Amino acid sequence: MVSMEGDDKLVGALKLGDQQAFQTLVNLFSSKVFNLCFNFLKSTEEAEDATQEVFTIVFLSIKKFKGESKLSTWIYRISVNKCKEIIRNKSRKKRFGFSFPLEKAEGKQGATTFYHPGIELEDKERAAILYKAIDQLPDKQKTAFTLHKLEGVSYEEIAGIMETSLSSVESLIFRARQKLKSSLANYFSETED
Amino acid sequence: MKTEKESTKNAWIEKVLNSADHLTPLPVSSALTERLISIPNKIKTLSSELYVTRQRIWLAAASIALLIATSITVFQYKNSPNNDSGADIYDNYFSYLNQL
Repeated sequence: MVSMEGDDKLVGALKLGDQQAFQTLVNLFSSKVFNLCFNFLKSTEEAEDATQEVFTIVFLSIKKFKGESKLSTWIYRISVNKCKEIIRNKSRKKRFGFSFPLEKAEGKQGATTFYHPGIELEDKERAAILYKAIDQLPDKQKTAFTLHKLEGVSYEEIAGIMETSLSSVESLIFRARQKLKSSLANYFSETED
Repeated sequence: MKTEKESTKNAWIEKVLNSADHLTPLPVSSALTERLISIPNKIKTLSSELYVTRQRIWLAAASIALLIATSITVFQYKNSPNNDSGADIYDNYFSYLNQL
């Protein structure tokens, strides 16, 4: 990732509307943003659209970026908020029954297990169970756990992304692990019986 | 027996929790990269299409202000307790003419 000094140069160029700088930004962060969106949205098409929206927001609001946090933290924050917004909109549509026939089909698809293409074959089944369990976590725990476990983001950066303290992040991830252990234990007992 | 089952369960839980540890990031398609790189151009085109002259903005603002001012004046006049009814106006006018 780019250092704070590198951040300053890049941000300065972006603020001047430098196209080359924007291309550098895309090269540096597109994979991170896309994979983060994919882990939240579990669909390639949706993750691609979300990534495009994130970079559009970054381009339009770079002048408001004051450099109080790292550039990566700021971009991650925009990405997480965008994914949450998409998930919220999807569940709202479902609740109010908009585009009913499509949602019905989606509901069936959503019920199927999610297999991440980037996970090794021997771990695929177990990871699918993990994803299902993660989906049942409360919102903040889910965000913190996904960022740390699936994206490898440090606790400090998660604190910056979620605009909370380091101890809160530690607590969120600890509680997420406890909750996951408990739901996995239930799943194990159910499948054993 | 129970502890054996318990340890199997715990081992399985740990395996599930660690199953996403060796996750390979998905590659970004070239089509998406193209879409992302073209964002500045798209926005510039869009903003030039949507460009509204300063004169038009002021004209719209003045029209709205005029509309609001007229509405307020009419509203105040209608609600004023002293405003004369139509008949009073005519009476006053004709008595004025008679005096002449």
